[in-house]
Amino acid sequence: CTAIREPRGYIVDATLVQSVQPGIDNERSVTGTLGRPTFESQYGEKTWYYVSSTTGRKPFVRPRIREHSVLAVKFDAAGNVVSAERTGMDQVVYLRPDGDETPTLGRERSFLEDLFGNIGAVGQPGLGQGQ
Amino acid sequence: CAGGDGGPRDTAYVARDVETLYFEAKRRLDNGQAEMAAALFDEVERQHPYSPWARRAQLMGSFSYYVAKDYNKAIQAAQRFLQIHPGNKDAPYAFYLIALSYYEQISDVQRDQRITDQALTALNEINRRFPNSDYAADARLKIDLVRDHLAGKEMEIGRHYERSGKWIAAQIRFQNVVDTYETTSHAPEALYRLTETSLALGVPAEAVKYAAVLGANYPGTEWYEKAYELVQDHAPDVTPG
Amino acid sequence: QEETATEAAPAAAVQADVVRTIAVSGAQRLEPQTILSYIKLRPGDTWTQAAGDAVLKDLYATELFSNASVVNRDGNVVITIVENPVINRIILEGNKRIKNDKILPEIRLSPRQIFTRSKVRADVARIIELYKRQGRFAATVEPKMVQLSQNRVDIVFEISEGPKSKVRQINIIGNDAFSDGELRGEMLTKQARLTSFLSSNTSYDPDRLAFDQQKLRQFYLTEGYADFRVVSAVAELTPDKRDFIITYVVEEGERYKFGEVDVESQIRDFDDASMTARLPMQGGDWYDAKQVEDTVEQLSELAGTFGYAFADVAPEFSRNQDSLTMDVSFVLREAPRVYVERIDVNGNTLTQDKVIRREFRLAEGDAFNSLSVARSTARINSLGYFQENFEINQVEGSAPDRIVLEANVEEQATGELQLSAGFSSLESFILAGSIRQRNFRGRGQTVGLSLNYSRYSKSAQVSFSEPYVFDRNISAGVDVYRRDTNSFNFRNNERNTTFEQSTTGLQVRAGVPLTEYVSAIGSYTFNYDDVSLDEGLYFSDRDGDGIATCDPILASRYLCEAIGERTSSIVGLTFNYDTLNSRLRPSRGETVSWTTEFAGLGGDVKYVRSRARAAKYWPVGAGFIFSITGEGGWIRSLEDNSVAGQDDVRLTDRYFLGEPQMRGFDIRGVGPRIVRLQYLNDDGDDATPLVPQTIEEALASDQRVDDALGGKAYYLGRAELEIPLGSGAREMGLRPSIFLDVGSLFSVTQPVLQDYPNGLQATDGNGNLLYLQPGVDDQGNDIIQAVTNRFAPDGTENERNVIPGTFFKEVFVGDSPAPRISVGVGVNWNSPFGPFRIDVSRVLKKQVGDDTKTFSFNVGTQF
Repeated sequence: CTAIREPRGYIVDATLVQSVQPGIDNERSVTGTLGRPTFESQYGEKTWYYVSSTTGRKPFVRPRIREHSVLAVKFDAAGNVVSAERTGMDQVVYLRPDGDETPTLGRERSFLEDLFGNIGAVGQPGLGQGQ
Repeated sequence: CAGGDGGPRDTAYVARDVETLYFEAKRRLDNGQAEMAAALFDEVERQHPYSPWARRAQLMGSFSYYVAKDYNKAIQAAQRFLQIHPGNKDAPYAFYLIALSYYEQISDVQRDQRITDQALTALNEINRRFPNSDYAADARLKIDLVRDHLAGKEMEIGRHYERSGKWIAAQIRFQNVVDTYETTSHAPEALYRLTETSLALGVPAEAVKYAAVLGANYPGTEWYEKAYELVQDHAPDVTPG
Repeated sequence: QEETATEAAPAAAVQADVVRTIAVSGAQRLEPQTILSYIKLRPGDTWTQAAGDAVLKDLYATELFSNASVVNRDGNVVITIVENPVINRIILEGNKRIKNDKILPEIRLSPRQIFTRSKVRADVARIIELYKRQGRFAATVEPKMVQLSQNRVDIVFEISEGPKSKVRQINIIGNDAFSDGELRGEMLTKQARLTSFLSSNTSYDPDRLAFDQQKLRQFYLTEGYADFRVVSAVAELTPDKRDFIITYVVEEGERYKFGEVDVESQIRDFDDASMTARLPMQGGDWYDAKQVEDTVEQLSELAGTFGYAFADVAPEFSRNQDSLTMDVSFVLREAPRVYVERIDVNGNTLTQDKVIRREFRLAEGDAFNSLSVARSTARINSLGYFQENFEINQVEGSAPDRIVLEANVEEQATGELQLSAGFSSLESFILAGSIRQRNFRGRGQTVGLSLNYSRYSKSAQVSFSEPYVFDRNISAGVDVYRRDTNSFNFRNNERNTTFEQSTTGLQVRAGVPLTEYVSAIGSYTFNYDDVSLDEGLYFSDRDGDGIATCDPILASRYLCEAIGERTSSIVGLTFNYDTLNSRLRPSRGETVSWTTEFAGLGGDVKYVRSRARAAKYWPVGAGFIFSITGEGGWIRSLEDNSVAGQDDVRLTDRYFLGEPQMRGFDIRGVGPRIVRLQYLNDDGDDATPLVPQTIEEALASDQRVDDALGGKAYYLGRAELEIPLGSGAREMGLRPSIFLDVGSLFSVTQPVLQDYPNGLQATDGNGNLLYLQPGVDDQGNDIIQAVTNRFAPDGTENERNVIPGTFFKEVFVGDSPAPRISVGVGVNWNSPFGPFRIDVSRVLKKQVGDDTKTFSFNVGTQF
């Protein structure tokens, strides 16, 4: 049966996206036309990624990306656009996130505390509010 | 007439001289009746506000509430002490009691972390006001633990987004961990998760970069091995941009 | 050289004024160095009068001192202070109308704090404000200080409450378009009349007066009077100085129409033409300010759905006096499309973060969409764990095109201990108790253990449900239950159980969403039913073969057929469509659910059963919520037992209708039933044949026997209007509603009816009729023997040996689809010990034989 389709991320406006040209635009002009990126690269060459995709939620299975498009805008040190390529669904990898987790501290609520935990402390957001 | 402010009945408004009251409280505290001791210390402060004992009693009261795990009252008593004696030589200890009271109530990463934030601000307060006191040394240690805990919460949310197929949200959360919680124990896992999300979002170049950074900073970890495998499987020929 | 000397000389003279030491005297509680830390003067500064004043100013600013003075004895400065006393106790006197527990939390001062005059003044103002809100403007508060030893003080607030001043009369001058009554209806303040004693709005309150003026202006604007002005509003005391009379002077001005109306959008996505076409008002309609306001809201809502969270829509008016028209153009200013930067969940001390986060319809990095945010709010509300008016609030992000969504939740008690006691006209006392935790371990799971005990049914059920199995969008649930229900009827004035049905079974459910609003749930149910009769009452050895069997005479035939054990294995499929804004207390949206069950996958029972339910809720303004619910079901057996008078569908599988689905009727009070009419000897003459009671007489008599048979089809409709009460009642959580119930239960095979005008004659073991024959026993006294011969040895005819109480005629009534109608008033009250519901209803139309019940209530507690 049908999958529930949900739009995620950047909303692409075709004409605007075509208008970004390497060598002409810089960071300010790209922000003006496209707005700020979905996320930026943290290492290596400065690259802005405008990611927009549609996930399909079929019953019984985990949601999967159905349609996908990424606009990668690379900048040189001076902030001028070096390249602006668009990649699509072909690059997308369907993988299951790894099960391991790094442990954290913090008092794990005991079973009984969970069961009757919120009798006394109901409605006091953030215990320990100082005077 | 009975004490109007609702103190526990048995420490009724019996005007006893300050020494006996103080040492009675001390005795109760020593043999484990912390709640009772705290109430008696409050009485000392109430009946003899101007005696030198009053100041000691305020601090001991706060400590007794802390021992009795009644953290709210411990914090309030300590704050009342600081309100009147900010310059006192015991002030660092009062600040330390407040920080510890919040620190003890940190709940697991699934729940609201407001108390964790309060603990962090209180610990930073000690570090800022009395940098070279021994409380500050312990505070610095606890600050790292608390920041690690906050990073844990970000990771928990990131993993939740991954499991429910919201890869963009996961990427943003993990980038947030790498940016603000670099020094915590979650950094390697965050870098590995970013390798996963980058692949899932169709930007293999970023995935290769994250795996490289992970290899450079945390070569021995199993997170790096997993990242290396992922990149070999899904983006063998991609050169980092 | 010269001027340096002079310059030096005054310096020398001043020399004496350089501060060498600063000492503090009179400090009892505070240490000297603490006091010094408050002032700026330090040894080595030059002493000037200004510096002295600064010290005093700083000291008083700390509000710790009642008196302070500074003196400079050539270089060493001495600060003498008198500390403010410490508060020992706070006492309230004279407060009758408002109790201590209401006033004390308002007071800032508390024992062991330092007494300051400004704090006392602030507390006095706070207490007066409390009384003002209650309408007592003449209340006065006198603070008194009681000095104690060791510079401590008790504070006594002497309160004199004064009379409650009311608004006796509201006059309005200058209004000709609308009557005084209409305008008074618009205002919040009501005139004090006998009828309005409950409402708290009759007290005189200046700020409510100002608010009323605003409401007047709003009202006129919605009627097109753009130039309306309140010239003056005066409140005078009545001669007896107890109440107030309020007089408004208004100037209505001309009535305007809409002139040019259009939309100018500077945002790329919207084109002006299509937007203008969709405006609710056209040129020529009467001008209405509220319509303009609503349109602004709709436009910004529309912009929100396209991601422009901070789009600002501003109506620009241009008024032309001559043609009395108002041109309105809605300008959508340029705004960046906004993206969600972060979603924060706060206040969840028990609930896990993901339980709330997974209900969000948008995620970080997505474009903002007001519809999705509204949908997320509705879904979080439907969880039922948090405060009633929960809203996701939108906070400016780190950049103009970024927004942070915050879900600040306050957790409520999600554990329910439900104890309900019902009282019914037929069957006096019902007691039911259930324990349920709807947010088990904060994981969103529901765990329930319910134990119901009532004289009519005993049941124990354990249930567990998880809405997101393995974090996937699959909801699953399992119930294991044991239910004993017994039906009953009345015979010679005491209630006796007719048949007992005990069902033991389990149900497993799994559901998945098909679209945002539609979900499908598959279920498998396995039941083991054991239906039995009270053997002492209904079993007898008719055929004399030594085994007591169910006696259709005593128990009537259809009951005997129902006995037996059987298993039913049922597969069901349900489709749910749900757009309610909250599942617990819906005020908008609709829900439709349709279930079909097929029994026959193994088990002894084979039938198809289908049931549908639909409900729609409208907020009809001013807090009224109108709802219409419709329900219907039918069942068809897949096997034909071809026994005359016995329906193919077993009695225990048929539908029943009555309380609580349909108010005004008793448990199983609606639908086909068998009534026994007793034969009575009206004219006292034994010769004439006995005459059966009428149905009404039979039902009215306390020896009434009527057994509900259930039906194969039913329908039920309900219209309910929830009435909001004044603020006073709402604080108590009272939610009254009036309702109209319409419904019917019908279609069952008519059972074979028994009719014994002259009683039923007993038979012996092998079926021959028995007669009474007088005779003599061996001790020689007369006895009556049961014999089988019709004539006594001496030729006289023996009397028939009639079983007592069998002079009756069974009648089959109530099997008609004609609607039963009942109307009534019910009150929902969140009483201190839990939800409480009272229903008083009157039946307008019923079929012969239905059992009515006018009054029922149940109460539950929440922990």
